[in-house]
Amino acid sequence: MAVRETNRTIRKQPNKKRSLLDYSLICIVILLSSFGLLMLYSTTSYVDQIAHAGNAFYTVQKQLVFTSIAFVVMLIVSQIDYHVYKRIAKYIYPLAIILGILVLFFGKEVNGQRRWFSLGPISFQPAEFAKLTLIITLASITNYCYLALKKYRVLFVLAVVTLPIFIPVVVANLSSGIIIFGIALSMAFIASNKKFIFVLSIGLGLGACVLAFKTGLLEMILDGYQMDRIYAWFDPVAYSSTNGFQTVQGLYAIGAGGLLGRGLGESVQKMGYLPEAQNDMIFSIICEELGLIGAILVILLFILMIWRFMVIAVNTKDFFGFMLVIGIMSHIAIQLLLNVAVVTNTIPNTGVSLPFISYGGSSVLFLMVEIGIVLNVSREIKLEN
Amino acid sequence: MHWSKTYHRTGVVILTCCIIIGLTSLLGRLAYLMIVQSDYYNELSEELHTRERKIKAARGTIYDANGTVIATNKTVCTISVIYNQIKDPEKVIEVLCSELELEEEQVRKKVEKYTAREIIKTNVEKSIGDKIREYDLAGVKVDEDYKRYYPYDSLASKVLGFTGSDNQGIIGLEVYYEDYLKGLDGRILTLTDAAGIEVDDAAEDRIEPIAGNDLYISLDVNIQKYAEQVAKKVMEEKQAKQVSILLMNPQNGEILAMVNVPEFNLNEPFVLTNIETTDGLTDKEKQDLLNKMWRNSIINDTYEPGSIFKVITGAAALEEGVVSVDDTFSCPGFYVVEDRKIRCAKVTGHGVETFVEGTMNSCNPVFIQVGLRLGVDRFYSYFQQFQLLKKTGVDLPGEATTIMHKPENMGEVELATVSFGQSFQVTPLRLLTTISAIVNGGTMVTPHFGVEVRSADGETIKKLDYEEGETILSEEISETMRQILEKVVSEGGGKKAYIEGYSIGGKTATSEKLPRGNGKYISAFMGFAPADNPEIIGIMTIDEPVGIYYGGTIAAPVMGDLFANIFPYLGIEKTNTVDENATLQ
Repeated sequence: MAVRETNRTIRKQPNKKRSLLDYSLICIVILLSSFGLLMLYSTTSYVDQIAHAGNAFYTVQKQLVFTSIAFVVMLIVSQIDYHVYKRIAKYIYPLAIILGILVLFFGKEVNGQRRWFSLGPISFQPAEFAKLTLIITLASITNYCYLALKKYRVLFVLAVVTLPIFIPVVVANLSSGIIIFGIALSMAFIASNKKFIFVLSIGLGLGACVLAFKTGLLEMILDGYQMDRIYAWFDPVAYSSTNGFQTVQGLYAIGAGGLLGRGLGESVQKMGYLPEAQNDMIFSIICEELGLIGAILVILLFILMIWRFMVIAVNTKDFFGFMLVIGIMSHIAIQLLLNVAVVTNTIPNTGVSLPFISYGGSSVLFLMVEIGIVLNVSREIKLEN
Repeated sequence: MHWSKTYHRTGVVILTCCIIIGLTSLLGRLAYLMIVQSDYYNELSEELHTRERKIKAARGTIYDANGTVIATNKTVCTISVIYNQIKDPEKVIEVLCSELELEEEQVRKKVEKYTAREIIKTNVEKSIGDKIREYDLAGVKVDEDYKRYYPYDSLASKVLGFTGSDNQGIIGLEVYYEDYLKGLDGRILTLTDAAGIEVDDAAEDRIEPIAGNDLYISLDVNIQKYAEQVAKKVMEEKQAKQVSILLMNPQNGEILAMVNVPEFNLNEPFVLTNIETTDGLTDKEKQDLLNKMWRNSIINDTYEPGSIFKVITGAAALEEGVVSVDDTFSCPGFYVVEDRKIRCAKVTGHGVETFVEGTMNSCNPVFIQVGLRLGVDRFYSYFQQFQLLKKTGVDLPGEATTIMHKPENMGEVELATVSFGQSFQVTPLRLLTTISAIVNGGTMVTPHFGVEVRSADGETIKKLDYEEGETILSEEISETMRQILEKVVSEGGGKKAYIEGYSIGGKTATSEKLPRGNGKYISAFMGFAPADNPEIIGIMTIDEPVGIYYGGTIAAPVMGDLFANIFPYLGIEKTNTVDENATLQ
């Protein structure tokens, strides 16, 4: 703990020894993670049993280890004064760019794309690191330019800072790129008081996308496989044997769920029909087993979490901490929105995992780190109050 | 340290609201998918998830006029093994080898093969299946199945038809009454995973099959059997290609027998008879031969009817009033029409004769003159009135239509030849149906087999009604025709069909097959009885007899013999024919 804060504690609230963590946020995280593990077990047990000699716990065991480590990391991070990130931003920012570029050449190739670093048993996705780095960097920059925030120039600066991180990531993985873009956009939107320009540019951007598609320009920009996904998006059933396959299988699962679902553990689609069921598509299995009611409860839990972020952000007096919370909140919210939108075929299929629930080590680790940061920010509120 | 400002906080609230709105609309989308489109996706995925095993529905039985079963189902078993469930493979192999009389090596290979289900043998007799079931071996499955079975093998084969591997009718009544007979297959639905492995504890969904309806037909096994014997005998004696006999009730069109020898074995419909080896035949050649073997000439093929058609020419001329029974004609042995000299069968000529005598003599010049008196237009309108250009509507598939000159192409020569049954073609069934109407008082009938459809538990589903046809001839002329035709049998060209004590009407025919002069004939006889009120009418055709080929000589006596044997069975009593002859004169 920085000396300055400690002093203030003594000065303002001499009776209280230490602040408490935001327990409601911790509760939500624990609930989501446990629910995620349960659904992950339900999703993977059938396939694991066949693939791993009867070991139905194969995948969930690994994820349990990841989650436990990540949870401990979260608790540790929650104890680290978030102001230090202001100082490390200038180190991790170039690191994220370098890792992002390196992975394009030296990453492990999976399905023709290099997105991972493989270090023995541990895989690490630089995109996850890039997201966190971007949040910290943008928070630092806005904090640094605090006095100039009302100027358009700041938006330009933010864009220039974001681009070097964004470009390697979007080359490796479009969906991570979209998330990074979304985070930067949200943070800039909050920091700047020029709100109207965002509404205008989002409108223009969407218009440009439609125009690009109609004129065939999009076909030149995007890779063939990405274009095919867009066609499959319009009519997934027609492409059900090729690009629409995963989407259609996901829709089968969702459709089968109905209001109350088949019941926990009763999914049929998980029995090898739905590719990546444990990963990007786990939400459709939740829908299939727990129905619309289950899906609503999960989304409500996320809304609660976002609500908590908002409460923390609004109550934070410190602008840097405020911006950190905004970045983290938008990160989780964008990923959630994209994931559910993909699963319901609201947008073209792009691989985005569902925070805290999808299978994946680096994803849960970075999410927990982010929660840890938010917890630390929230801690200051208590001090101030 | 900087402080966050109010506009920052407002921004957070806006952002949060946007997120929540986004999530809510996605929930709306979810609700749409999960509630509104649920059925649509469920149906699609059900197909994907479940393995369907059919339970064959029992096909309806076909009964003859006496209630005798002529087409039914036999229960057969399919023996299969399920690898995962076998506990004692040695015992399984031993039992299956001995019960099914299979080679050990063959069975062992199947039992030890790692598959979900391996079929050992199909079409196993039920008794053997039951025996295997009694061993109660784990992993051995005995599934019962139905196979179509015809107790009389070849009886009325071309009429009944047979069924294919899916239990669907292929020819004959089996096709025509498919919808009634087939029933509704049941299903067993089992849940499987993506690899197609059945999920163990998933509930099976069983939809019971519904048995097909039974069909009751007018065909009489006893008459059919006897007619087949007779036909076969003639065919052998005359070394003919084919002999057909059709017997029906002229009053209502119920068909009692329809014979086309050689028949084929309905229980082995794909085995070619009359062919020593199928080696060296292409599949197409083989199929052509099968189609030929299955062909029902009485309805599928047309032929030149020859002199039997004089019945129709006569009836038309009498009805139109262009001739009366006592009109006299002169036959020098030929008749010249335009530039053609058409011969009579009797080269020396019949001399002066009345119309009745002309019919008894089957004299061509008489009928040429009668036909010319009618003229093309009137003759043609009688063709239509007698429905000769229409199909009879018989309840068998593939009925052929009459091949006839167009009226505008019909000159006097054509008219002359048509008058005595040449230069056009009809099916024997069409010919006999029209003659039925001519002798039954003038009412057209629909020839048919189907009488009634009943459900498997005996409830009547449908009475097969056939509308009473149009009146095509006056009662008076019908009676005159009966009397003339009775004289043909009692005194004229058909007297070899005469049976002591019975009044039988009839007409013979001998038609030379095309091309003329090749020495191939079709000999035929059409007869009905009792002559004054016909209860049965029949036609017999002998295709390419060797040696004597006159219909009156070879067909008439056979038909007479057939009549003599079935009249007592049908309860047709002997009558005194002398009185009727007197009335005519």
